[in-house]
Amino acid sequence: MKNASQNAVNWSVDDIDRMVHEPARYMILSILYVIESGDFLFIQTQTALTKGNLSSHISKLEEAGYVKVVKRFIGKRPHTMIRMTQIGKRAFEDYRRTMSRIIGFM
Amino acid sequence: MTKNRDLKRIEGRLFSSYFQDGAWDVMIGIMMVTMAMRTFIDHWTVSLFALGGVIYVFIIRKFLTVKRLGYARFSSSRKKKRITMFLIILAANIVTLCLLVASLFGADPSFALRTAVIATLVIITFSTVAYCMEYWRFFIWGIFLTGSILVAETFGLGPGSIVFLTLGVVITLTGIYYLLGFIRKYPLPGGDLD
Repeated sequence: MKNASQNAVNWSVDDIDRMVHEPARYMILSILYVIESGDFLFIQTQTALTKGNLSSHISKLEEAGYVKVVKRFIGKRPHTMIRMTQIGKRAFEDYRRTMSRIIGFM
Repeated sequence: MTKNRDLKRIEGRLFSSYFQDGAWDVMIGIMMVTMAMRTFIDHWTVSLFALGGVIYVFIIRKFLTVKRLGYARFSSSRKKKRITMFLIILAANIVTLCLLVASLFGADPSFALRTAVIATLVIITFSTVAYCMEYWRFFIWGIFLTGSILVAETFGLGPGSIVFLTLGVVITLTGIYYLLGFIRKYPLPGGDLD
């Protein structure tokens, strides 16, 4: 049996980073966290997201400063490399810590 | 550490996705078939076939795997593992070379010793690759190849060739099966390289 102080809610919804919390973005960040960098196609094949969906999530993560996108051309075709920034890594680690604290509390 | 185990699993899954193309299996299979054929064809042709296996892996990786799966750069710990793997393989090759040079200068190691050393080198090499690349089929191929060497050395080249040929064909067909599965699973993306 937990006592009253243990039952007190010691977290709020605001603690959860909604940028990371979205399942597709969490999946993208999990991949980028464990590799140095990957191209758009690699992330797409691993997440099984559609091109448009992935592109939209990558843009949001880029706006938040969590990922860095480098676009270049191979021949005449564009090639996009994506890597996680230090801010992104910290946010991802914080999110995992927060979630394990919340799940542990529950 | 327990918390990060899932991330390690993800990294392992991502890395091993590059081996779904079966290219290495085909290479090992081709090499075993050429080893079996060394009684029928000259050494130069055998060497060309073996080189063909290596070129096959390069071509499949560059023009099929990366084009369908995409490209990823893995962490520095993965690079360290790869360096360790190459050092162990290099050491195994140096030992093999030393044995070859010793035999050229008249040293004649006993049959049992020679067989044991070659079998050990093969199993060490294949196990190292299997462990470092997380490519567990390689471990099975290593056991098969070691077994074939032992059969070939014990019963002479004839029966050995049949074992090599059979295993070589089985491994090549396994590789082709994985390749077809890979092509079905990862179709060529249309449009930009994006």
